[in-house]
Amino acid sequence: MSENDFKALRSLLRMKRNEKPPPGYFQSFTSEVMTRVKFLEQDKAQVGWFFRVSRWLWASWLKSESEIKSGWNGLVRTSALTVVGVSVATLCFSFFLAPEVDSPVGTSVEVGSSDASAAATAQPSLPRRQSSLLSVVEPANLTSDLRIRTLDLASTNLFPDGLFRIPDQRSVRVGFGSNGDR
Amino acid sequence: MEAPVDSVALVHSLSKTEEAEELRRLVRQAQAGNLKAYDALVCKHQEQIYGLCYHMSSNHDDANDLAQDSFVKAWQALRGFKADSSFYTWIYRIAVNTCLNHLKSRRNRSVHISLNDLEIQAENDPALVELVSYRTPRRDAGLGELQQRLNEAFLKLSEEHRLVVTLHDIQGIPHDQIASLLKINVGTVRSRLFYARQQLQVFLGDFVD
Repeated sequence: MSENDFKALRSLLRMKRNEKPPPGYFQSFTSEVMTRVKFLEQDKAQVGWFFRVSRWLWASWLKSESEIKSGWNGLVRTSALTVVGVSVATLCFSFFLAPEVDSPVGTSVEVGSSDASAAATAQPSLPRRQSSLLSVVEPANLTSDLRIRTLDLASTNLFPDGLFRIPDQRSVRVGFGSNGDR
Repeated sequence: MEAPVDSVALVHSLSKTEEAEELRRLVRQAQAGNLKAYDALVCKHQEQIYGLCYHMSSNHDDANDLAQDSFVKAWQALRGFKADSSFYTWIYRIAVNTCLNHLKSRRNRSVHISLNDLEIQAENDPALVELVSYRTPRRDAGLGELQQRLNEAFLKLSEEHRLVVTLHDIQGIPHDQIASLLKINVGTVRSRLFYARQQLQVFLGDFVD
């Protein structure tokens, strides 16, 4: 069968050449494409530095030898652990060791002083913190007769005596109480 | 540093050789990030790319999205474009792949043919008027019905066969260029074309027998 056998069909198919989009379509088409391209360029510029650094790191990792790769892995693990450690420390500091804002009513007990053992039996209030979370749960009827300073070693955990003890310093176990408990 | 291109019209007013050189210059400028140059390239190729997308999807909205996606993908990949093939072939290849991926994804969905918003100029084509008048057993068959039947038959073809018919019989691209575009042998192009035409002949028996 030759090309001529399909002459009628090919004439019919030529009709499809006449199917055109609405007038003026191509003017808006170009501008739509260019708008999308410009958006892409803006996005690329915004995160360009991050991609460049990531790409460089990735390319370096791919090119590096196995020993260097293990070094890279170690570096990445150490960095990740450092970041996690710093984050946890910052969080702990902000929630548990934040400096007092107001001076609570009560007796200040110096760790290592002679009054410390007496103070250990007292029920101090939670030191005031900046934390919004704790300010919500800090009720008005919590009273304090003991001030725990930032650097005091205070614990509400049930550690056995002697555990985590720092030489030449005494730890003070503190508890929480309310007026109703007394 | 090459001077930026100010007008799209410049490309259209040049001879073939100058036009090819001008296109190469536009591509180089676009690769360097010149948006105006890329704008000119889009203007130059948009009708063919839209046509390919339209004939593959038989839907204006899909064709619009596919053609836009093709140009956006081309922009993203432009820095990697090597001059070992022409920009025309390269952008066509991107559009072909975009269309084929789209058709694969919608294979299980029903196809909606939208022809309402197309400007049909076929009524002015004497050859077609003659074809409809003399070849059609039902003489009252209008061009609209013929077009509808043609599109339905077209959609019954496999994507590979529809592609070669679109490129050769509708868009007029020679066999060897289609082969290079689709990265297949010329023989394969010819055989696919033959098989596709045979199928169309069966589907459109009323009109072409």
